[in-house]
Parts: sequence; structure tokens; C-alpha cells
Amino acid sequence: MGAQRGTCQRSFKTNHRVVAVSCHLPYKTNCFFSKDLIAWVCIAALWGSVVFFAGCTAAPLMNARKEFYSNDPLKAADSLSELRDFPSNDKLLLFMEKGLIQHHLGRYEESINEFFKASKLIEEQETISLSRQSLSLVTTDWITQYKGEYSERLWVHTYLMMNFLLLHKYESALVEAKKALKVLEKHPESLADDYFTRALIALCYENLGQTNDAYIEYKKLAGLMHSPYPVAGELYRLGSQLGFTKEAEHYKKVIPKSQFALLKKKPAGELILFVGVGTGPVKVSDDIIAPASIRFSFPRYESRGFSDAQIIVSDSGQRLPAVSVTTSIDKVASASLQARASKIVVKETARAAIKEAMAQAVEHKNESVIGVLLRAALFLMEEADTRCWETLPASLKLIRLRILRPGKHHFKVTVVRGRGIVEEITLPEISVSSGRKIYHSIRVNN
Amino acid sequence: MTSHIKSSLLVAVISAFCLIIGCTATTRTVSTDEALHYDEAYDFSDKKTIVKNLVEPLLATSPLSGTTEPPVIIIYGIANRTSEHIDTSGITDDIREALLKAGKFRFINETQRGNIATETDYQYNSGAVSPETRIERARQAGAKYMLTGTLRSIEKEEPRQVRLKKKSLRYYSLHLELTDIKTSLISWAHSVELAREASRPIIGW
Repeated sequence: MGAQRGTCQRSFKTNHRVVAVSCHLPYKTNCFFSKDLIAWVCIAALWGSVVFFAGCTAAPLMNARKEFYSNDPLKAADSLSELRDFPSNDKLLLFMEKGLIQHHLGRYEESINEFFKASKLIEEQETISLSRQSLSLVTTDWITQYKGEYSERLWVHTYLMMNFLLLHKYESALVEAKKALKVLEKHPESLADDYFTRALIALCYENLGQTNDAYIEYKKLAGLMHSPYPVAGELYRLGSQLGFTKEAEHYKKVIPKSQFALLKKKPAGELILFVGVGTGPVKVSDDIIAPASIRFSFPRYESRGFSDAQIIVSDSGQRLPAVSVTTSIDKVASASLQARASKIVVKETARAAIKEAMAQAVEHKNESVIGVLLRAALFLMEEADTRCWETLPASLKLIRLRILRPGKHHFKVTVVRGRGIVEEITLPEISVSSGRKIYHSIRVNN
Repeated sequence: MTSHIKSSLLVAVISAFCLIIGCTATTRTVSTDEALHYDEAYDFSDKKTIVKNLVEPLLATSPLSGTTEPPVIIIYGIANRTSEHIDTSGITDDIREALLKAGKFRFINETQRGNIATETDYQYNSGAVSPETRIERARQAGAKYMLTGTLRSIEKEEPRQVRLKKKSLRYYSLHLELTDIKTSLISWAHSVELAREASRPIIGW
């Protein structure tokens, strides 16, 4: 009976953390289908699934994200175009990342197509796959289809709304607004701080003359925000139109005098800016190690750099008064993950129990060395699912500027952080006339 | 061959057969008159029902249907106020077609106005069209009535509970109205309603 030695060396990348694993596998070859061989096949299969699902899936996405944040969105878009045999588990991430990159490039129609795919996939994913969920109970969550956090599912509709508004397709924007409302109604607490999306929903209603619905959304927003000031002007204006005099007067008190005077003047048009600021959060793994090499691994959102900045808009050197509504992506994403926390803990505990039972069964029937190796494999396999939509900004701002003078304008956007100017962006020449709303989207990554 | 091997072979053949049948792509032509619904969402069968149920009363009960001179109508489209991306121009096209076939109404081709202007301009200003074949200008018919509508929907899903299937209910209503452009008065109005319940499994393989 001869003994052989095999060496296995693999490395895989899980969300920016490189885990290198090396092990030496001693095994006996006594008879066909021996217990040892079955045990080795099990270890190899489990190990293979980890390497395959966790290591290879996100590679094109990781490259695209890197290119996107290296201020090369064109290359990022190219990296994700015509991907063949892209793993089905990460399809949602692919559509979301592609959609956002295309949006950033001003290719709004293409962006809509990608976000539509994402939206359709989210609907399909409502059915729980028994086979994948069962397998994930003995391996890792990475083998399941990524379904997106509640916040990410909402932001698919948020970006669709933005795209449709930028293309002046108001009816389609309202359809997306209604879809976004459904998501907000499903997860009211975890998504309560997404002021940007709610302001966008109100705007969609407003564009189609559904004043009452717009008023309701602004009112909900005012109730959710610490101060109703950013939407008080809209509430006063729409409330007065609807004959809600008492409520309009209530919101009038919140509006500063200088702004109220401006509100009374009939504007020639309105400039509405969607500003994405900074780099969105990423998920990292938090580990708890219990005796007998039991590892619990939980995902957590971690901020990357600054999350907000002041945006100043000027026209021919003169600063324009503006009202803005801001969503902290970091905060809402974390709240969404937190809302799932109990489900994650239950699954993680069940997985740990099943894995421990497996290891004990192998230890009982085989040589202890195989049991130890199985434990090692199961331990390393226990990696929290840290997949997330990474090209999102750290915050989203909706800035509304009432333009009094009709004609051509040259607007300049200045991004201020701390005490210094970070970036100055000159918008293309914009023609303002006949009460038209003009939309523009910008992204500040630095 | 032992019975054990025979039965194993039989199981293998049946399994292979099932697998092949299950994976084969199939196509079939479906009659457009057949009501087919895969889920609760709006589909072509709904469009046909809506058009049929709106055209019939428009022809039968509209005060304009009995006039000697067929009135000229312009369709300004149906506003989509549902939570689905529905191309409502398909509904207006079918309504127009059905009414034209009935011969009781005439329609302005609003969508081709730009092309009509371009062609007229070409005939008069390009120098390429012989004067005797040019169309006469300022002879377009003016619309007397305007047909507009709104498609709305209400959706309801079963509340969260322990279950294997998730039920959802969707209600559609299409409201159509005919407005006298001269007086701004609504001459005729009618609504069609549709409601459908669907259920989908929560757990799949």
C-alpha cells in the first residue's frame, strides 16, 4: 500500500482581501471508493466550489470598478461590455454597475437598458432557490445569486427615474417613481433616510401635474427629515395651489425671507442637478472565532473616504440660491443591511451547526487528520458575502435652482470640502425659457 | 443480464428522456383571439379586451355616431398612470382603426404633421415638383373633437405571512373621453375595468 503526497496552492480574491491558501494532502490509496477517498472528494468539491464561486466571479467587475475610480469610465464600460459566460450569481451586480457607469457617461438610454435588466432580475429573484440555499448551508453564501440589499433594489429605480428625467420622458419616470414607492413601502424603516429618492418621486408627480400626489410625497419627506426646510418652498407653493392655506402658512414660516421673496417671483425656468459625491461604501467581513475552529462571518458596510461636500452653483460668477436634498448612501446602505441582520445570524448559526456536525462525523469515521483538514476547509469557506454595488457614490444630492432670467446661461458647479475647493465643473451652455425644467447629472469622485 | 441491471438501465433511460424533453426549446403559434395570461401584468389580451369594450359603446352610444357628416377627431393619446411601462399608443392605434373601419368618424393624423409639413415645403420650395401636381395648401381638416384617456392601475400584494405561494391582485381601468374642442365640453366618456389575481411560488428548485 503506497502513500502519495499531493500539493495544492490556490489564491483567490474576496473583496480586495487576498486570501492565500496552501495545503499538503496526504492520502492513502487502498481500495476504490474507500471512506478516505470519499472524504477527500468531499473536501475537494467543497474547496473547488469556494475557489470557483468566490474567486472567479467578480474579476471583470473588480477591473471595471478600478477603472471607474481611476477616472476612466469609458474603459470601465468597455470592460463590462460583451462579457460571455458571466456567472449568473453576479448578474445583478453586473447590470447595476453597468447601468451606473453608462449613466455617468451620459448614455442614458443604455443605462436604462441595464437597469431594466436589473429590475427584471430582482422580480425573478423573489422565488427562493431551494437547491442553492441548501448548498449554501454547507458551503458559503457566495454560491447563491446576489439579490441586492433593499437599498440597492431601491436605487435601481432611483437611477431609472434620473435617466428618464434627463431624457424628459416624464411618464416613464413616474412609472419608476411608483415602483420605487413600492420598495419604500416594503422597507419603510431601513429606507427612511433616503431623502433623495423621495424628493425625486415628488418631482416625477409634479412634472405630470399630479400636484396632490407631489404634495403628499413632499409632506412625507418633510416628516422624515430633521428639518423640513429643503422642501418647505415646494410645500408652500403646492399647498397654496391646492387650497391648503393653513398648512401652506405653516411651511412658509420655515422658509428664510430672502428665499421667500425669490419664491414669489415667476422663474424663467428651473435647473435641477443630480450630484453624486464621493465613493460609496463597501462590505467587509467581520469574523468571530469560537473554539473547535468554528468561524462566524458577518458582512458589514465600511465607508470609503469622504461622504459629503458642499455644492455651489454660480451663473456668470454670481452664486445662485439653491435648495438641496441629500441622501447618505453609507447610512441607508448600512440600515438596509442591519434590517437583514437577524436573517443573516440565523443562517450563519445553522451553517456553523451543520458544518460542525459534518466535521465531527468525518472525524468519527476517518483518521483524525482528514477531520482536521475538513475543518480547515470549512473554516476558510466561511467567508461573509461581501458582494455589493460599488460604483455608487457616498451621497446623492438633488439641487434645485430657480432661474429668473430667460436665455442662455453658463453655469459653474464648485465642489467644496472642508475649507478648500475640490473641483470646478463648467456645465455646457443651457438655454432657459418658458418655465422649462432642465436636468443635469454630475459625479464628483475626488 | 440480471434484473437489477435491467431496472437500473430503465431508470437511466427514463431519466435521460425526461432531461432531454425538459431541455428542448419549443415554439407554437398562438391565436391573437386566445386569452393568454402568464401573470397578472398587462398583456396583448388585455389590450384587445380594452379596445373592444371601448369601441362598441363609442359607436353605439356616442352622440356623434348618428351624425350625417362623420366628425373629425384628433387623438391626443392615453396617459399611462400605471406602475408599468405600457405603450398606450397601441391602444389608440387600435381604437382609431376600429372606428375608421366603422366609417362613422374621421381622424387627423397628428403623428405625421411634421412629415406633412416637410413634404408640402418640398413640393413648393425645392423646385423639383411640377406646379400642377402640388397639393393645395391650407386645405387640412380641422378637428372638432379630441379623444383622450387615462390608464390607471391599482396593485395589491398579500401581506407577509408563512406561505408557499404569493398572491397579487392587479386592477386596470381605462377612462376615455371625447371633448368638443370649440366648447371644451365633454361629449362622451366611458371606462373599461379589468382585474386579475395571480399567484407565484415563493420556493423554487
